[in-house]
Amino acid sequence: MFNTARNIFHLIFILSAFISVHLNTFAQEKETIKVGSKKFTENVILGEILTQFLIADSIKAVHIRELGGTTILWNALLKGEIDIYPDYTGTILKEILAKENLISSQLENYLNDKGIGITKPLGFSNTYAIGVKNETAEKLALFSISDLSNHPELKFGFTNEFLDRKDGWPGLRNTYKLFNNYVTGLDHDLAYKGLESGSIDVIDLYSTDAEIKYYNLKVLKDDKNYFTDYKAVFLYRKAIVKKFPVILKILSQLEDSIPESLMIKMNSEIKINRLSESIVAANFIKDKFSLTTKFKESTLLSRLVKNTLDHLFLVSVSLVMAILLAIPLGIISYKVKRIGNVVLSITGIIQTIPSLALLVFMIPLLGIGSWPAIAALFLYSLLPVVRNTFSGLQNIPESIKESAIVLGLPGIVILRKIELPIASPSILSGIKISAVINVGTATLGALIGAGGYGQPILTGIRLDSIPLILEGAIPAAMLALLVQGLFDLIEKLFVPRGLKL
Amino acid sequence: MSIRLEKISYSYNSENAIDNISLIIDEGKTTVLIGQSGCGKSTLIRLIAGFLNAQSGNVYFDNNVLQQINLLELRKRIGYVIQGGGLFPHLTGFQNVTLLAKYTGWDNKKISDRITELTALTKLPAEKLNSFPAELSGGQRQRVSIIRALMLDPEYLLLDEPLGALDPMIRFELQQDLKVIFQKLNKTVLLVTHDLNEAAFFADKIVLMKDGCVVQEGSLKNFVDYPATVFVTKFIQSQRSVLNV
Repeated sequence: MFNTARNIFHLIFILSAFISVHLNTFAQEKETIKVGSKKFTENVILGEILTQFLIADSIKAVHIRELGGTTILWNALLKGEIDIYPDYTGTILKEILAKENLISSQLENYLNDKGIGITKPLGFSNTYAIGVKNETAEKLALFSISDLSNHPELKFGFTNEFLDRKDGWPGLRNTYKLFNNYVTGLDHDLAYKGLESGSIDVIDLYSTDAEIKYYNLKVLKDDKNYFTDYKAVFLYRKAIVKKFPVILKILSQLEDSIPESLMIKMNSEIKINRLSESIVAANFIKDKFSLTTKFKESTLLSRLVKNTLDHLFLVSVSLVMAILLAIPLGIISYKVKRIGNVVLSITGIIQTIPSLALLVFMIPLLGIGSWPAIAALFLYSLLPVVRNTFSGLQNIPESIKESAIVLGLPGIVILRKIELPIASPSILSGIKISAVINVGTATLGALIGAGGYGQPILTGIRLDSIPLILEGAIPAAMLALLVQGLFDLIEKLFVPRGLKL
Repeated sequence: MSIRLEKISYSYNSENAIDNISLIIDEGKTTVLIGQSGCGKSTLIRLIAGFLNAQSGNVYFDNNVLQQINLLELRKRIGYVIQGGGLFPHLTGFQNVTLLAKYTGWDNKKISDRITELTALTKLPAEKLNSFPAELSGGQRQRVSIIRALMLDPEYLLLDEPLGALDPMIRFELQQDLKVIFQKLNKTVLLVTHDLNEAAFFADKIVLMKDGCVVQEGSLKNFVDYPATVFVTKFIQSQRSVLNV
């Protein structure tokens, strides 16, 4: 496989074409307003409303949906990776800027210094609340959060973000002297299912959630006024409204335009009636401002094509970069044992970092989108290739190594003509392992805006839609099989025949 | 073109050590190193091939002392054959034997002439060179290995238990052929074996080793008539011939 430099050039050519296409779309985005949204329905609707409104006013805008949690969006805004996104005053004060200990009147000035603008409230407030099933409430006579302190047997299931937030569980527990016996973290959209099935008893709610009514839940009274106000607002980069002042005009039209009942209704149209965010947003704009907006409803095919391209981009670029580094590292590890120990330990440690954590670590360095995901996948791909290159070379029988040395060939020729070809089956199987793992791990990239097959899975979980989940899961599984088959073929073509006898 | 060892010592553990050996491997003759396993005979041939560095003493090829800087050049003048052949499994027999010649810059004509010569000498059917090592029998593999070792017409030939892993009949046949090759080529040969019959068959001079030292060197007759120690006699007696059972 190593004398076929031509094939490698081919591969590099295809990849660079691939990358340049992606950079092109990136360059276009420079002229485009990038609206971000968090990965829950209401936030996606708000992002979609703004995006369609901007487009209706002939501004180029794009909606980067479902970009994970608060930290990711806030950092992306600071870095200019996105220009505007919807957030909530309580979240900004108590979570993002918790260390600053600000009160709401200081917020605008503080953000101003960071180059961030904040709109007036959009109308509704989406406060945290604590909920239980109505029958549980009746059976145990639960009316307020204080009542929970008499029931250590209750199982709490909270959104992961809520569990860690300073304005979330830690403070709630202290304020109400609650028990910590049964507390688990889970996805917000799955929490309702858990409550319904009885595997958990108490969950955190967003007060505008459509499910509260749908599942007939009891919202417990916050009798100690623990939760602050979470008024919906837009955060935007000052630089972008300076460049496009019309954005401010549009934002001001949205201020005070969405009462709580309307927001709950819109949430419910999506989560209960299964409309798309685009349609709900378009209807809102039409009703409120008598403005017809254009939006593209994606078809299954167009989504599949885009997700496939995004996914292939993530996997192939990270894998090729990993191969280019890992094979030399494996060779060095074999030649110099002391370096080898260090290299193998470090790549081994990288492998133990949870993939979600590694993805999030990449954001401060590389922002959101494909590149941080590629960097994380690249790091994950190293170990199997390094280790298999190392062990493939290491396991060559001593008699063959000595026969090669005693011929009087220089070390580099021995490596190229004898050692690497004999180790090639091992190296290839390392690459195959990396590639297959990579295809699976890349689905997490959707959490930081990298797209790919993770996107429909993420949306599917949020909307509780099995077809959407399958829209990501089936192609991902098929791609993994395809990659496996491809490498079996490569093995057939490239592994020297003498090694297969 | 002799090989001369001068006060060679080497140890990495108590076994297989070499203790202050001086020895001459005569030009154009076949010298056989023999001894029980662990006596240091394999260590010694590996010191001569430059895989190991002696802790003290020197190895001279003719008058050139073996050292790191001339290792590559010296090795081109050494042919080396080991037990099992040590052929490269991913290359055909032809690629195995021509690897070095091609690297050295021989043209195709020169290579094919040399191959014709050597297949005849080693009695290997020429078409067998198109096979991969895994497709060859043990004896054929060893013949390919010998061709590879002889390809550049080296002055010295080192063989470490070259017939060790072969069936008795194939071994017998190859012994005959190898002896003819040695006689025809007139090279300085050093062969390691643990089999006294084989040693007696090949050797112009036998060197018996024990615990990293040379116990006695000379002809088999010399060993039988004038054993240096009781060990020499015991060693000879231990290898009884079937005909004397």
